[in-house]
Amino acid sequence: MNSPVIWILFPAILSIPLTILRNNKKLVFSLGIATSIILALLAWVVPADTVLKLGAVEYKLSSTLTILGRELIINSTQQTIILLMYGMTAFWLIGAFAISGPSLFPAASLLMNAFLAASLAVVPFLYAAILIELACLVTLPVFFQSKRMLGSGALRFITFQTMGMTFLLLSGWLLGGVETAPASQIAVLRVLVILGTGLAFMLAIFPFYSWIPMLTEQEDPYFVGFVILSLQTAILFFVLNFLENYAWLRNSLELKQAMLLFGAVMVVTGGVWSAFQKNLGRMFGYAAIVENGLSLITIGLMSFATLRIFSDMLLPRILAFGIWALCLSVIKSSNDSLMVENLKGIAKSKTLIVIGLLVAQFSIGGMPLLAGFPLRVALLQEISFELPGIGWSILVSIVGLWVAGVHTLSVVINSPTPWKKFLVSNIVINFLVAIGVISLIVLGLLPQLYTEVMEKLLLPFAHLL
Amino acid sequence: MPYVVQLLCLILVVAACLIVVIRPGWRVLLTALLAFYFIQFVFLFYSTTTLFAVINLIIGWMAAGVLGYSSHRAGLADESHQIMAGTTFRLLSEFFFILTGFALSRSASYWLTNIPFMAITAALILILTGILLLNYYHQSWQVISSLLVFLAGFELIYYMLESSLLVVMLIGLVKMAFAFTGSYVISLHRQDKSS
Repeated sequence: MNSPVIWILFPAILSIPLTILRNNKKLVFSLGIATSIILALLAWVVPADTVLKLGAVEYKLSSTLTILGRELIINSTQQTIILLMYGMTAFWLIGAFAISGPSLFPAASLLMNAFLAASLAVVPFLYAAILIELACLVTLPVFFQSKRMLGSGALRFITFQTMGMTFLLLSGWLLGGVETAPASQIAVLRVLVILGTGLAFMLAIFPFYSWIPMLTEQEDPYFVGFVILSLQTAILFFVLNFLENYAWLRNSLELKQAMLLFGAVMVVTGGVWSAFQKNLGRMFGYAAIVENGLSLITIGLMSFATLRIFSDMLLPRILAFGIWALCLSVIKSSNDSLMVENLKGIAKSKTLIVIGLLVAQFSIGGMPLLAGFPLRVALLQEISFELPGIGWSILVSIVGLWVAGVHTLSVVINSPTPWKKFLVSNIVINFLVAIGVISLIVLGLLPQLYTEVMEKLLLPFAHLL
Repeated sequence: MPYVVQLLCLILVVAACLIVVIRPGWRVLLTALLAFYFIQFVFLFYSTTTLFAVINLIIGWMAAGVLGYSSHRAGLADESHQIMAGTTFRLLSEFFFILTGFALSRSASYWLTNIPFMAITAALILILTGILLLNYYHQSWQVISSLLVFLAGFELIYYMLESSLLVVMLIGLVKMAFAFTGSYVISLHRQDKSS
């Protein structure tokens, strides 16, 4: 037995019976949730390549699996990332079960995780681009399961990811050449342009991010939230892998400047567009773009402190987007629309859901006392003297997200009808939203609770630390 | 690789690309895909190993076959006859893209030194035609077929640069995933039509 079998092959194989049994929703969701939790726990407690003693029996979980002459390696330093991925899947599947999400969700999420885990494990890591593309393709059946068609957002999503894959594969080949031979400035620039274009397509960097708001508007926000968050997190780790493996790339001033510039543009445009949206799904999408931009800035700064902020941001982001997407999904299923003008006074009939929505939205906006706040402050502290322009761009995005939040708030309470119900009828949804809101507040007040664990995510990238 | 074979393959790619752009319809598109995979096979057969070329041909034809079978069963109608202006516009745009392919291949051949010039040209024309088709088409299965054309061009270049069976298999998996997605979308279209 070895770790790639546990975290890659097993979930991939399990997704087949889960697809076949999709008519039995309760069973597939239970299996999906249980598997995700078990795989997350295993990633936490069973380190690869370490001898474990179970009484008289000694056991060692090997970290390497060889397939077609190449290797998949999941060692103990990568297990925190695996823990995060499967933990997030379990959290999302519980919510999906509560809102009676698509029955293909468990199979798709497990298979997607298997491909994303493989993208972290494959050696040479450049092949990860194909595995990420496969993870994207896995999501398509879920998109058309309910609507019986693929919307323009989903088609654009898969088109951009496919183009991104080709650019990244080509840049991988070129990178090998630049690394082994002293390259001319033109060759280096060519690699950077091709690599940058590939990442722009895959990571939804400006100007290729239009598919995110389209997808969040057209499809079920809960599943889209999962897809965007999982994919973007995996691709960000892929970017870190690039920087880890190529010293000249780490030292490239051009790359650093490009990441900061595009990150700032994403942060500003995402925040400002979010303020002008009339659809809550699109607001959610633009907030995801802001978060991507922030990640790009923290990675682009390439200092130990900002990389720590990058890893620390992941947990509050997962929680906030999870709660936000869950609340949007509940609202969409009852109102059949996420247009702001159709949601007047909804806070009076679904108070807890609206509280969850607003707390998540303001947490992403970095409101004081919520989970996003300490990290925004830490990032602004790091960059305000050195790069005031980037600092201002973050402030502008915060203002944009707050305006969007206040706009939402003013609409959802604006109704002459009396207050009716605080909770919704589904107890699991109430529980999840309440726990989510409390967690966002607790993480905002006590960020030291999770930062130590989250920093372990950076262990595979020793050269960056 | 014999020059005549290279030239024939390139002419075939140009002809197929022109036809596929000016005569929209699933039969033409999928026949063109079969032709593209065959041309890919010829180039790869001379430039890489026979195994790579054969595997790629089989997977490519399987993908096109899956799409073709579903389209036939669903009774997809070919697009109605285009007006002259539309056809002329399509022809001119494809002609422009083919010229762009020829123009780019000269500079691309400076850094893709171990790939035959004609293969680079054919690959670039396929990639650009794929992008052009993506702009013309809006139905799911058409977009998926256009992406397959785009990928066919990319594969032609990439397999000559990177010789890894795992990569061939993984990109093959991507193509099959596209084909099954397209097939499923077409089958839903058929179910909706019959109900």
